[in-house]
Amino acid sequence: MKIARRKFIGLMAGAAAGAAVGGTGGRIFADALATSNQPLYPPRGPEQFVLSVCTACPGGCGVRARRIGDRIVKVEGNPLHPISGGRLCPKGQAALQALYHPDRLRVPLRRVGPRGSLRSFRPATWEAALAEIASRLRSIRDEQRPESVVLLRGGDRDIGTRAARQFLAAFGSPNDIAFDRGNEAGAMALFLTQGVRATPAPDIRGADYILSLGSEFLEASPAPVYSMRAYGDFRQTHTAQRGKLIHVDPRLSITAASADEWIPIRPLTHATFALGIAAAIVQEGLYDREFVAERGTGFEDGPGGGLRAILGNHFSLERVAAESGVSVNVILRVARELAGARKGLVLPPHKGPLLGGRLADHLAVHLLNALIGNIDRAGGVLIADEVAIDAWPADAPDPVAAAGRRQPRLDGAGSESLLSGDPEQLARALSSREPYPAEVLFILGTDPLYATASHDAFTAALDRVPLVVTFATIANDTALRSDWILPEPHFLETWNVQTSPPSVAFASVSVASPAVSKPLYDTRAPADVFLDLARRTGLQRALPWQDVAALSRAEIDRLFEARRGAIVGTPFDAAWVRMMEGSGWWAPGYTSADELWKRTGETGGWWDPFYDHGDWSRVLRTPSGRFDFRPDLVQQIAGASPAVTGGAALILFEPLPIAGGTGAELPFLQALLDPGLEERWETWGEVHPDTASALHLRNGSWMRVASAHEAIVVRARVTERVVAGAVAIPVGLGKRGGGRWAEGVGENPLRLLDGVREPISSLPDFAAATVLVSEASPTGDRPGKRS
Amino acid sequence: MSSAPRERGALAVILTALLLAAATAHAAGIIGDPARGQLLFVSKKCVECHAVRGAGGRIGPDLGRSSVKGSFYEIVAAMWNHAQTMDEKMKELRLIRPQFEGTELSDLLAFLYFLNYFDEPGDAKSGKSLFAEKHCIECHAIGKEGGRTGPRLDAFPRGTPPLQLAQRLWNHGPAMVAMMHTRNLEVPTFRGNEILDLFAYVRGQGQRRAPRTFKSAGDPIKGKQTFVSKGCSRCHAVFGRGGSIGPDLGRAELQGSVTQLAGRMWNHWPAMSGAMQSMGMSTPVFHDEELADVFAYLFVSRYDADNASADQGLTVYREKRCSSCHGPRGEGGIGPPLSRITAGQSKEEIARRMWNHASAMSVRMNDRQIPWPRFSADELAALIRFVSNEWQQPAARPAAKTKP
Repeated sequence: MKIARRKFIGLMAGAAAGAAVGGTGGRIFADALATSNQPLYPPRGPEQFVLSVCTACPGGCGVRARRIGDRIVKVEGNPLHPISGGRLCPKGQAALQALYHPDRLRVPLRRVGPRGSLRSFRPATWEAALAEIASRLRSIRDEQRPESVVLLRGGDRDIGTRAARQFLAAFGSPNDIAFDRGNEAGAMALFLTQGVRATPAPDIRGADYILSLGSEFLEASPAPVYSMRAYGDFRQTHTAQRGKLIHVDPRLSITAASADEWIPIRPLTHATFALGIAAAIVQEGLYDREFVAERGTGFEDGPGGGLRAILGNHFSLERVAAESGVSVNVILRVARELAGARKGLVLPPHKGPLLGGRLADHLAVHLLNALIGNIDRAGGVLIADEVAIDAWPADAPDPVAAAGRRQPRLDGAGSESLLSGDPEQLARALSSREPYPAEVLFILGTDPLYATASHDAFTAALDRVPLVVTFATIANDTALRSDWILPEPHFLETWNVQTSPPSVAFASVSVASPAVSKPLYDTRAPADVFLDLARRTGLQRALPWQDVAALSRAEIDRLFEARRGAIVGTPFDAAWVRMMEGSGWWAPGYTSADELWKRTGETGGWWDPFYDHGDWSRVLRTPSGRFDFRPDLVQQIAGASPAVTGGAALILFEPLPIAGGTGAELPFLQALLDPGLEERWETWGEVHPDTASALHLRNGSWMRVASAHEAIVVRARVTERVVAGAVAIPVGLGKRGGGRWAEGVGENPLRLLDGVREPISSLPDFAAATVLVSEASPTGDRPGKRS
Repeated sequence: MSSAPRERGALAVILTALLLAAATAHAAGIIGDPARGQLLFVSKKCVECHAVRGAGGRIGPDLGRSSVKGSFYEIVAAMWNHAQTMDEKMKELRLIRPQFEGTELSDLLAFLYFLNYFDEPGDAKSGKSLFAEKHCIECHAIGKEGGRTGPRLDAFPRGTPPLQLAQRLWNHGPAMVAMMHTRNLEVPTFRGNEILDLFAYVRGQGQRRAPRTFKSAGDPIKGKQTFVSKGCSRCHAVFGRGGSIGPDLGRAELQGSVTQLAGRMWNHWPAMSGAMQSMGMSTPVFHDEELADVFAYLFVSRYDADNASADQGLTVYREKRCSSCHGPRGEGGIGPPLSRITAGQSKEEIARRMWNHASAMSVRMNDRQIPWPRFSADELAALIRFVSNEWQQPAARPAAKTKP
């Protein structure tokens, strides 16, 4: 079925009405429903509620699906679930459209024609797919080159990814490569200062004053529903006094609009501003002397004379004001408010799952948090305890696997590198076939061709790998250039055991069971695929389970052995567990692994709400055992010039409905891209009236945004929501794949990037790009047409 | 006074409770399940008005900190006495008054009883001061400060459960007391929350060597055996069973959480030591889970303790004017005949029926301008025993109680 875009827009009202009465999108999905062997409407049969876990983003919200007959008619938050607490974001609400999407992949697809088009694929059986892949894998093992198998994965919290990683380890490849743009910079800052490889978890709920330096935690945090709930507590219920939120950023985002005060700042000056605040706090003696003296190092000594000296020498109020565009008085006021707050908290620039920010900004913010004693205290920056099932028990590799695992990783990241994964470097290695060629590339839970900062290099790289296997529910950009597309079930169709998302300070395990009696199509869970491949390649000792259901149960058995935590429950239950564990007792409410399995199925999961604040041996693992104020790196930041030259600063952001590069395939989400400007179904660029005037841009006209590398055409939105001298463009549209409602809609501004990396982190620098903005040619320039 | 059968009954209930909380064993359908009671505390809306140590509503008293502590009868008496006020408040809040089915009340009571066993987290800051005030610092080091005579206290793994610390404290008593006498230092004693605070400080100082571990409650059956084998029972009775040299531990000695009990146990060291020496006994040393087991035993022992006399029930029945509705001989009147309803029933079942009829009873009493009857724990124990036993057929009555 092909629906013209404008016709579809007209039908959206019907979709909304359908959703409002608990239907599945009115008649808009009639074709899809009609083809899914279901009576069209109304659904008939007994009503049932089934618990599951939303995987539309990394947030891992526990959900409750309402089923009538075999039709899922509504998805809502699971009230007992510690992440969602009964709430759900629009992406979760749109899960029904994803489940019944007409372009869902129904069988495995084998590419038989040129890469890049779904027409180049022909349907195949699972047996054919697995036989071919397993045959290739066996050959590789026979040739003793297991390192030539690569896994590029988007997450690490779901059961499918854990099975894939276990398979890769047993097979003998070191190339377990994460595509984790959203959390990389924050994790690096934590590692550099505290020696811990983890994602920092800011305690928004426990704070009473938040200084957000461009953190879009109300729209695109790693766990948006949890962040929104924490924000609600911060504002209303947790503390006796309503928490105050200050947002400092060049753009008036949803988070900024929710704040008590938005302080516009010049692009690229977040780190300068944060260190300016730090300098003012130190200058006025408002920092936490006890923490700095007892737990810190590098404050009074080290390169440049230590942090105190560098702040004094390089971050005077006048310099910071001149660079950031914020007045001295405002900087001083914010510094005093932050230091004077009982539980002040600073949040770093984080624009979404694909735009995690720059290390310089995260580092500066983390140092500022440390200066006010905000490390591992309530209302500060916490580090979640590991969940017992996150890491699989170490196995004893066979000789082939042991030799393979000793090979260098193709992306050069990993234990010796600051980066946990480097997809762009992987692309270069795949293309050059150095240090060794890759033979098989599994891509799971990510669409790197869309999200990479080096699109062309990645495209070329895929051509050099003999066998590219992508898992997807709908063929995305990467899938279209793969050799095999293996159809995944929707999350409501399969088992899952999901651990707590990044940025959440407690350990949790969510358990999902299939909400429908059988999957709509001939799909298989990635865990089932890797269990099958393990059997076919003689690795069943490492993955002995029959299917994903058995594996789920085995993971819960391991969880039971950890002897901590409790079944998820009400706030009272949580307080009870906190109190008990705080006193050294364990009273979980279950007495056996069987009971834990049963109760997690009934409630949605397990968690451990207790946090052991001030466990310094756990959270300070630097060689000195102290928080390292890294004067060496602050010196580098001080020496860098944040000025934007040669055009307008490109500000990228991720609206919640399409954050992480997912969501554009769903009409419900396309219809609410931006609640402020009411943008729909296209990419827009926000420019300040002064900038628009200088460039002769009119509101609503097409404008051309060009980098040295690429140009795109977007709708001009003239607004004071963004500072002058910049253009702000959302990421999430402009797909080559993604089904009929995503393909060719809008633009992908990530293509404007040209691989520029931040020097101290080697991360792609999404914030450093400058672009030339002009009125689009009346005839030549239209969205999708590139120069 | 507690009888052997009643003690065994209570032990069965609370033993299960402790074992359940300890996550050791559970058989379906056993009454007195505190885990279920915790769920009922929420689902029956108790939590709307009452908090447990800060978590929950603020209308009624915090049940983790209030005087609603003690035996089965003390808790039930407190519930009953507040029933009329509670009814009015629930009507005001448009909440449905909780009724209990099956073992629900028993489960809820197990949970409420249980609250007293576990400690609240102590105050580490206060504990740091106590570490100096109690002279621990003279011999033990934490961080850069402290003496070297005794072992470093930050060598304990972070988060060491309090009872493990208590056991270590107890076991090193002989050496420590001798050393303190040598140095002319006062042997420390603990009041109120002091031991909790001190342990909170010590527990937070060590390095974490392994994933956090949590302690389960002890095993009361083993605890009873240990109580005898270590010679405690030669000096101490528990509700009249045992020696009489030391105080009966079934009385006021059992008030407080388990670690507070450990503190009081430590406080009696000088007296105990002297008495044991005179009896030719050596000071008991506890290994593994022994101390936790002993405390579990002592704790469950007080569950259905009371001081009611056997003939007090009839007096209570008359004085509280139960007879005006239910008849002088339980034959019924305005209210139903108790001789048919309560005779032979367990105390949990009678308490449940009392609670469930309180709302209707309140209306009748208001109509007749009779004040709401309030009970002490002993009065309630006597009344329940009376309405359970008095109207049974002689053949069905239990054998006369004998002291163990």
